Amino acid sequence: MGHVVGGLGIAHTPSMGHAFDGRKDVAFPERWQRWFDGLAPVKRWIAELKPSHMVIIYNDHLNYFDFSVYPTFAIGMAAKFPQADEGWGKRPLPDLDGDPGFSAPVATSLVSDGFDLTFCQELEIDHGIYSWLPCVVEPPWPMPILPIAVNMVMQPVPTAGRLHALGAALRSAIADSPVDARVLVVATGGMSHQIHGLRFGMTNQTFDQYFLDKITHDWRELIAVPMTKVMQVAGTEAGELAMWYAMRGALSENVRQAYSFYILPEITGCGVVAIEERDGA
Amino acid sequence: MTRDRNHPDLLLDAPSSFVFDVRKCTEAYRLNQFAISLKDAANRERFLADERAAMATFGLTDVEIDMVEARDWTGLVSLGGHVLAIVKIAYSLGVLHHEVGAHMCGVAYSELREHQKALGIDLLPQDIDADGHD
Repeated sequence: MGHVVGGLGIAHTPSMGHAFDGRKDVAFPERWQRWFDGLAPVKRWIAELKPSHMVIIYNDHLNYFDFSVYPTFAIGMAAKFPQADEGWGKRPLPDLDGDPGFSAPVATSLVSDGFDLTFCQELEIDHGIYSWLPCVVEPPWPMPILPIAVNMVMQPVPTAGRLHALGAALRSAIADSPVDARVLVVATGGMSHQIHGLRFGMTNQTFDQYFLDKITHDWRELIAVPMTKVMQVAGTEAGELAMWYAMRGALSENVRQAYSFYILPEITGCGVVAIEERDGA
Repeated sequence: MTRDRNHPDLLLDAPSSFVFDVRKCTEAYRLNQFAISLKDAANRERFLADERAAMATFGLTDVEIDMVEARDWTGLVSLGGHVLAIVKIAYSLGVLHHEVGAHMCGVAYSELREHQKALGIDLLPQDIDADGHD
């Protein structure tokens, strides 16, 4: 029987990875340093929580999937997940490990619960995971991951309610698992940003802070906001924040917000929230 | 304070925003698949060696090919190109995403930072006038 020991919501962006690698063409390296410093407590928190597995709800950015077949929900079943080349070469980081013995029963339970996932035996991972992961867990990464890729690039995308329900189904699947796993559920996306159109580069720090303040205890208020309104005030790509509801849905009501941090380093609001189950496990 | 949902700063319609949907995906399928193919180094080399030939292989229209040659990033997105695909064309040519962004904002790259300062919005979703449909 497995347990969800905590949840992590965190932003992703290509620049975060470039700044982490110390590339010279990064704007505002000092602001990125403040972000990395702000993640130090998250790194300690994960080390103390000692998760055996991470389930990560994320989105690909046309770096693995193309439009010939575009899955709404896809789950990575393999024992290895290589890094995707996004067009500027791979970063000096290792492949990610999967654990098929853990993944298969979780995936089976999710399908029984009504989530008809696309099974991927091959899956290359882009900055959706690679940008933030080395900032919060030192490579080589000690725990395997189970990636769930959600369509966030083409409307219609799954609704906020559906994503929350995915998280709840994930919690049951982990509880029913034959593997005695201590699972950290991670969701990554956003926050405010738009990378095209006349609104290219728009951000909304007021909204980002509001979202971070509400996600742990007042998520019902947040999830009631139509995603179209979120996209209006926080940018079309802020729609990725809906994935954070899957992380929250995987947690109980008996939780404590361990940490949160926010900064706007460039043109994407970067926030993090760490939530832990009060009864441990 | 509320703001009308049709204020230009909040519009999800062109040219403020180009929300990509499955209908556009069908219409601009070849353009996007070509652009996405450039994530592979071999395809980038083929494109750089002979742009028109590489695009013809993917069955792009003359309008699309001309627009790529003109580096008209805004035009390509308005034709149904997904921005995450179109920037792969830009990256192949050594053009940064922020340069693509400046083109879309209609400002010089050197003016982009100043321009962006004016784009910050501090509204919450509940501040938008609820008139009309969500």
